[in-house]
Amino acid sequence: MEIQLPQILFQIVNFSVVVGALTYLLFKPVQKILDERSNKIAEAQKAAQAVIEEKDAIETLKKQSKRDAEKAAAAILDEAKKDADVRSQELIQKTQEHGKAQLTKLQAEWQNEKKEMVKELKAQFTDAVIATSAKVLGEKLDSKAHSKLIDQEMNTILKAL
Amino acid sequence: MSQTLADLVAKAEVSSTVSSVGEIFAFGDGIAQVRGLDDVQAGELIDVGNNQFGLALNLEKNQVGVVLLGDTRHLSAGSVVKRTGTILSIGVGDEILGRTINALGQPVDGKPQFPVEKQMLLERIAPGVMTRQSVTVPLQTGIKAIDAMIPIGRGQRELIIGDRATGKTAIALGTILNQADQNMICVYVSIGQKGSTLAQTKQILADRGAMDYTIIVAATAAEPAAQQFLAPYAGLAAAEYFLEQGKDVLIIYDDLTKHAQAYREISLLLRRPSGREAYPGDVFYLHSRLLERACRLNAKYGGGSITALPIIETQANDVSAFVPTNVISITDGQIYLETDLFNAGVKPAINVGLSVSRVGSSAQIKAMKQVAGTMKLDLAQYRELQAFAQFSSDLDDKTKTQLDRGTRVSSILKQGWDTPLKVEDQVVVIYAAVNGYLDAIRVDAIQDWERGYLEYIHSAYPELLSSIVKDLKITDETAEALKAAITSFNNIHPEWQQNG
Amino acid sequence: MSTPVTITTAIELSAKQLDSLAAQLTKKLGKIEVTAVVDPELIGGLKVRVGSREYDGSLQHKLNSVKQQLLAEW
Repeated sequence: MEIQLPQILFQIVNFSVVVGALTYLLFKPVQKILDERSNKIAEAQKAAQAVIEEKDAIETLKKQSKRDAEKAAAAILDEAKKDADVRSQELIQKTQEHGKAQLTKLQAEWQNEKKEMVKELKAQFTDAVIATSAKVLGEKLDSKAHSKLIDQEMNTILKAL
Repeated sequence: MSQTLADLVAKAEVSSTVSSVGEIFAFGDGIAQVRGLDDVQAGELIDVGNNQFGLALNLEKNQVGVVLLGDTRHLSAGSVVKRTGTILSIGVGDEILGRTINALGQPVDGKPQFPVEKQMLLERIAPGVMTRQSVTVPLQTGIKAIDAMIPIGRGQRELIIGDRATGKTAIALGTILNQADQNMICVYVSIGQKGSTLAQTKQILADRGAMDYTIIVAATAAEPAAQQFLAPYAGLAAAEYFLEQGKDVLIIYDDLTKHAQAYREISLLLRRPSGREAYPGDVFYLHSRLLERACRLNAKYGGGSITALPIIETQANDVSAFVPTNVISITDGQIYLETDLFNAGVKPAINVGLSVSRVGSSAQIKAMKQVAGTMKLDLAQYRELQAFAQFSSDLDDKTKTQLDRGTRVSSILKQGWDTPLKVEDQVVVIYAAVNGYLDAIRVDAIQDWERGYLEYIHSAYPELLSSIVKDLKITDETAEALKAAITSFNNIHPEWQQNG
Repeated sequence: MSTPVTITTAIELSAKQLDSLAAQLTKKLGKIEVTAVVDPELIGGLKVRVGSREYDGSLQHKLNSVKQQLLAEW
């Protein structure tokens, strides 16, 4: 076999063309894609980091609000307790006053009843006195006393006529 | 016993007396015809013996018709009766408050006689024009529908008219219950009612502490017609005792229909000529002289007032019958109660269209005027639209809103008879209703809403109520605060909101 | 025209007594027509009724008035 120079040159040229074409058509795009991929991964990592930081901030915020709410609740509870104390005092006082009022009412009623009884007794006594006088007079008057009485009264009546 | 009995006997004056006497020649049905009694005065008390009395009502040439006022079993034809010389009057004192008396001024509540400070005549001439003052101070009944749209003032006469069992007495009692802190004395005159009903009324008033400022005059159905006839005048005599002290008095006549019937009975027995519906010719004068004595006196005469709430019972809603038309023309307005409304659940069953108060808004505080000013007109328009309510799906939006608003406002006017509301509570409730804050609430939840709302305002915003009480009007800040309060209350209670 | 007059006494009056009383009354009143009634309840004294006016001078009435005064003052 004879080695012919032009054929080797042709092969060399052929080979360089193929390598050049491959570099341009294949190598560069593949490199680009690989670069893009590594960029994307870097960005995703950054985003994940940001999310983690946000989460931490929210946690701290939550803890803070919880503390604030507990403080407010404790304040309201204190107020309510104070209110309840005041109310129970008022209730106790009212009951005492009510009891005292009832007592005075009963006492007043008893006084009234006593007065009524005394009045009743006096009335009965007066009736008895008058009835006795009437009976005695009725029996004691004789005809002479009657005539005298009648004449006396007649004079009074005539004066009034 | 400042003096002993013996001293008194020694000092006693013993003399003969002259009295004008008469002899009963006819006696029956509570009337005694008497011969004699030559110089008796009209309306004079006649002593018929046994500590009982009669009233000389018919003075004729040869006889006197005496209406008997008590137990008359000891009388017969031939009994001798005497003049007393006193025109009919009752004894009144400051301690009559809380007591129950009959038409003759005698206590009937089992407790001893109260000390009498003055004898008040039952028949008096009403105060003249120059002693009176116009009505400007409100009488708060505690009932939203009345205080907002048919306001009553102190010194006014407002008739409560309706069929039986429509809530007339309930309105009267509710008004008495609301006078607890209003510096009012109340007189409740019961004419011809059942004893059991009166006992219930007394119990309710006593339980709610209203007896401290109330007098009850009782002439129940078992009392003689003469006592039923006199009872309103007796109540008025007691009221005038306090009027002369410059106090404000509320007097309720329950009811004047039975009063007119008792008077008719007496007049027919006295053989006086009868007229329309067999009533005597002076049945108008019977009520006019009673109601004219309810007045407001000017400062020179003490500044007191008597407000009268007469009650009339109609038959089958007939307000054109004789006695109802009489009393309507005498009073300064009427509150008209309807059975249909009552049965439909509207309580108080007030027909706002036919009810009127001729004193009107001069007897309202400015706050109430501000919120209730147009409510009567709005409700009238709502009633006109109600006929279309059955086609509500076919109506335009404006009509539908008006109907919804009207339903809610009518609903908010419903009230339990024994739950009177203070005027500041009424103002905030009506403010919410007329300004549309109820539009989003379900109609059946309105009563709950109102209850919760009042509790909320009382506990969280009491300063709003006290500012209304102090200024007697709604200032701009109060209005803003009230709006905020209502909105926040509505937000707290989504369960009453309408869905969709 | 004679005025009717009723005289009520506690005991029965003799004709002489009645006439003397009637005469005294006639002097004051003119012609009268007297009716005499006996009522032991009066205890003593007499009551004279002229027309519709009654003059009560009986012991019963006096005792009653004393009783009223005592009840009122004691």
